[in-house]
Amino acid sequence: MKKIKPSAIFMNLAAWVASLTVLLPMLVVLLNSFKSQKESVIMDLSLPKKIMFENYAVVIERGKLFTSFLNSTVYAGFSVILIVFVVSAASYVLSRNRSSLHKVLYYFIVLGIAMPLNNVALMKIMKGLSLVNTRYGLIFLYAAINIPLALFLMFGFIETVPREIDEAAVIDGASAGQLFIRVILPLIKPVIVTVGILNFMSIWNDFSMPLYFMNNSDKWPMTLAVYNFFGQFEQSWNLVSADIVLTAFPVLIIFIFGQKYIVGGVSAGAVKG
Amino acid sequence: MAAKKIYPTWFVTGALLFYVVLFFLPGIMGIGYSFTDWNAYSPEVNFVGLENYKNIFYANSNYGTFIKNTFVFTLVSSISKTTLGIALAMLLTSKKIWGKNVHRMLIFLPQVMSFLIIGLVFKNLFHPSRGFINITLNAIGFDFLAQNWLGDLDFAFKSVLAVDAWKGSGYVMMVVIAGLNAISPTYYEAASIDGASFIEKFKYITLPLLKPVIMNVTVLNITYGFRVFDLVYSLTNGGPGNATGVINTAVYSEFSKGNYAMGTTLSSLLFIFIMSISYFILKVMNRGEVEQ
Amino acid sequence: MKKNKQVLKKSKLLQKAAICMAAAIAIGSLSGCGSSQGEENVKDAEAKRVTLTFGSHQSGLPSCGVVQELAKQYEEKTGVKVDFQISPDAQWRDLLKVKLDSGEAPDIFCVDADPLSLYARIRPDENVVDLSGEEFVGRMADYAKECVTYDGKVYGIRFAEPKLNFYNYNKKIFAELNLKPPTTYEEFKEVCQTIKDAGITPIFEATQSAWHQAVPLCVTGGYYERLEPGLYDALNNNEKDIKDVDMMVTVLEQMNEFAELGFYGEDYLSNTAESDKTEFGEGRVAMTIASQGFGSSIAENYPEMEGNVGIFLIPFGDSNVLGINASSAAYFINSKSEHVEEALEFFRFLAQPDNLQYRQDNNPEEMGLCWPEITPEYPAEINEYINSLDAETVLQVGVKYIDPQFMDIGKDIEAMYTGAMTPEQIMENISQRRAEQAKLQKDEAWE
Repeated sequence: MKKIKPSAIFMNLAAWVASLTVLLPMLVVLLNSFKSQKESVIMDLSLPKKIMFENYAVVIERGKLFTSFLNSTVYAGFSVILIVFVVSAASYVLSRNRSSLHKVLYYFIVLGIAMPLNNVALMKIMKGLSLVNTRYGLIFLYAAINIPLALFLMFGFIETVPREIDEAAVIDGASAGQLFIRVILPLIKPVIVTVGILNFMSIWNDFSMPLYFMNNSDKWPMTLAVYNFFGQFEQSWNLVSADIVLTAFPVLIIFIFGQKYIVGGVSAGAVKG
Repeated sequence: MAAKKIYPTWFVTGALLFYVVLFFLPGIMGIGYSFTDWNAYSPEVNFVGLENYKNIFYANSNYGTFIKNTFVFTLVSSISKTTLGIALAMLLTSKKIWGKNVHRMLIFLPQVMSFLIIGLVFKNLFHPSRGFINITLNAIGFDFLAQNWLGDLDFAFKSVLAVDAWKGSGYVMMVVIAGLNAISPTYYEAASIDGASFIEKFKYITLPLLKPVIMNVTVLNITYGFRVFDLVYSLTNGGPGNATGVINTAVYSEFSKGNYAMGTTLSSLLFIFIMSISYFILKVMNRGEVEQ
Repeated sequence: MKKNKQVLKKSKLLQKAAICMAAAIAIGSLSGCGSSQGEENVKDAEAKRVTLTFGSHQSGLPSCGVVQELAKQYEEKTGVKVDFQISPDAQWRDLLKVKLDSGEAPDIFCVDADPLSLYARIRPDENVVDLSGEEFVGRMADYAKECVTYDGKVYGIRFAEPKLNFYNYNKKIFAELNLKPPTTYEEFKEVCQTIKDAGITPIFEATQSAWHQAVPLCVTGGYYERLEPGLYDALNNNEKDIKDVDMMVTVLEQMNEFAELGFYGEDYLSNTAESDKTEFGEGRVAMTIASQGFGSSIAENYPEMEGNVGIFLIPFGDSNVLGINASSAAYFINSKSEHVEEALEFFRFLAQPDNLQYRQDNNPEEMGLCWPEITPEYPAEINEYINSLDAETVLQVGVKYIDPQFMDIGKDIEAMYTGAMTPEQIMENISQRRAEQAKLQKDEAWE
C-alpha cells in the first residue's frame, strides 16, 4: 500500500476547509427550508424537528413560481442565443482584421464594460421603439447590456485560433460565411459555452430590468417573484429559504451539467487575453 | 488575400446595432444629464456646466468617503479574490487531493447565486445573537472571536469584503485552473532537474505564464469592484452611518432624493475611473506581451 | 476563373441571405411569442375581460393580502381582473417617476401621500384622475382627504388612519419589576435601568432598516412646535434654521445616552425593524416604538400578549405631546390609463361600507380606518388614553424637506450610536440637506 504523506493530509484538509466554508451557509438555508416558522428564526445546522415539505407547496403556490420560471427561462435563453450569435460574428471579424476602423469599433464596444446605465434615458428609447412591456424588448435589452463583456472574452479567445486555418479554408473555396460557421464556430465552442453560461447566470439573477420595462406581472421573471415573496413573508424564514432553494435550483442544475465546460472551456476564454 | 473579403465588416453590425441603440445611446444621454440641473421636481432641465462635478469635490459632504470606500473595496476585493483564487487553484490541481472535481464545484457554486439572495442570507448569518456564525463560535468556545459583524465600525467593511471573496474567489480559481492546465509540465520538470524549489517554480514559471489570465481576471474584478452595489446595499445599505457606502449606493440615494443630475454625475465619474484604470491595465498587459 | 468568381459571389450572396433570414426568423419568433401575448390581451379586452394593473411598493399594501382578496371578490363579481405588481419599497418612488414620465405607469398605483410631497411625487394635475366628484370622497375623514388633495381637487383614495407612535410596553415585566409608565426623561431612564438590571433588553431598536431609529426624533415634532409656537411655519419659510432647534439636540443627546447605557441591547445595530414582533412577543425586550395597534397585532402569534401590552408617550425631552402622522399610502388612477372607468368602479367597490368593514376585520395590522363610519377595534382603555392627549402633527409631515431625508437622518443617528457623529453634526446635516432639497425644488424662501 502506498504510504500517505502528512503533506497530502494537510492539503486535503485545507481543501475541505475551503469547500465547507462555501457549503455551510447553503446547507443552513437548505435545512431551514424544512423547518417550522418558529424554529426557522434561528438559522443553524440543527435538524428540523419535523420535516415540513408543505413549505415548498406554499412557496410554489403563492410565489407564482411556475410562470415566472418559464419567463426567466425564455429571457435568459433567448438573450444568450442572441448574444452568442452577434458577438461571435463580431469578435471574429474584429480580431482577425485589425484595420484602424476595426480597432476603433472594438474599443468602442468594449468601452461599454465601464458605461453606466441610465434608466430614464433608456426608458425613452425603449418607448420610442415600442419595446416596453414586450418579451423581445427585454431580450434585446439584456443582449445589448451584455455585449461588451462577451465581446471582450470572445475576442481574446479567437486570437488563439491560428489564422492559417482561415487561409486553408479559403483556398478550399469557402466563403466568409461558410468559413465562420463551419470552421471558426466549432473551434471556439469552449468560449461560446463560457460566455453563454456566464450570461445566462447573470440574466437569470437580474431583477431591475423587468421592474422598469415590464408592466405585467405575468411576464415577471423568478427573481422578482422572490422579491415579492420577501416582502410578504419577511418573518417566515422557512418560506424564504424554500424560495431561495427553488430559485437557485435551476441555475445549479445548469451549472452541474455545464461544469465540464465551465472548468475546461469557459475559462479558456480567459487563458489568452 | 483581401482581409475585407474573408472578414466582412458587416458581421459586426448585429452586435453594434444592439449595443449602440440600447446601451451606448442611453449611456451617453445619461452622461449628458450630469451637466444639467435635472431633478424630480421640475419639468425643465437647464445646462449648468461643471457645477455638479465641482460640488462633489468642494461641497461639505460624504462623497469623499464614498469615493475612498469604492477604491478601497476595489483594491482589497481584487487582491483578495485573486490571491485566494490562485491559492485554491494550486491546491486543487495538486495530485495529492482526492475528489478534486467535487471541491472545484463546491467552491465555484456561490458564483451562480444572485447577490440579492446572498446578501439576505448573510445578513441573517451575521446577526450577533441569532446568527449562525456567532452561535457556532460560541458553541466551540471561541467566544472572543464573535463580533457584531455588520454593526461594528471596525468590522462592517471587512465583513462585506469577506462575503465578496466568498462569492467571487471560485471564478478566479476556475479560470486559473484552466490556465495552469495549459502550462506544459516540461517547464516544471526542467526546473526540478535544476533543483528549483516550489517557491522558485511558482515565481519563475507559474506566475509569468499565468499573467494573461491574471490580467484578464483583474480587469473583470476592477470593473466589478468599482460598480459594486447589490452586495453592499443588501448587506449594510452603506451603514453603520456611512462607513460602508460606495459610489453606487450614493448614486442610488441621490436618485431616491430626486437629485437625478447628481446621481448621473457620480455615475459618470465612476465611468471615467473605470475607463482610465482599465485602459492602464490593458496598456501594461499589451506591453508585457510585446516584450515576450 | 471568371465563372468561378461568379459562383463564389453567388454563394456568398446566398450565405448573406441565409444569415439574414436566420436572424429574421429568430427575431420574428421572439416577437411572435411577445405579440401573441399582446393579442390575447386585446382579445380579452374585447370580450369585456379587462385587466387592471395595480402597482405598489411592498409596504403600500397590507401584508395579510386583504386587498388582493377584495380584488378577487371584485373579479368574481365583474369579471375585471386586478393584476398586482409589487416592487421593493426602496425602488418604488424612483420607478414610479420613470413610469409616469414615460406614460407607462400602471392603471392604478399606490404611493405614500401627504400634503407636502404629493405634488413632487406624482404631479397629480398631469398624471392622475380627479376623484372629487365621487360619492365615496365625502365619506373619507378630512385629514385623509387633505393628504390626497392638490389645488382643491381630491385625487386619491386611502384607508389607513393616521399613524401614532407610542412606546408599547410589556405590562407583565413592568408589574414584576414594580414599574409604572414613565412621563419624563429621568423616569424613563430609571425604568430602563431597572429592566436592564433584571437581564431584559429595555428597548427594541433596529438601525438596519434605516428609518426606525429616526422615529423618536421626528415624531416628537409636535412637542417642538408646542414649546415654540409658530416653529413649523418659521422652518418652512426659512426664517429659522433647523439646527437652532435646541430641543432636537437635547432629544438626540438623550437617545445617544440610552445607547451608551446599553438600553437598546446588544444587537440593535444588526436588527431590522420587522423583528420587533418576535423580540417583544417572546419577552426579550420590554418596550418598542409602534402604533397603538401593536398589542392586538401580535396577540395572534403570541396569545399570552393579549391584554398584556400598554402604551405611553415617547418621553424623550419630557415631551407631553402626541405626534400625529396623517400621511399614508393612497391609491391613484393613472389618467393615461385605458381603463379609467373600470378603475373608478374598483375604487367604488373598495369604498362600499361592507367592504371597508371586511378590510378592517381581516387585517390584523389595521385596527381602524380613515372612514369615520367604521368603528375602530381598539380596547376602550387605549381609546381613552389617546383622547386624553394633546396632539400635533409630526415633524416630517409639518416641516418641508424632512420626509425625503428620513433615511439619511436614520443613517446619521446610527453613526451617532457608533460614535462616529455628534448630535450637533446630525443637526448640521439635516439643515444642509434641507437647503439642498429647497434648491432642487427652487424654493423661494431659500434663494
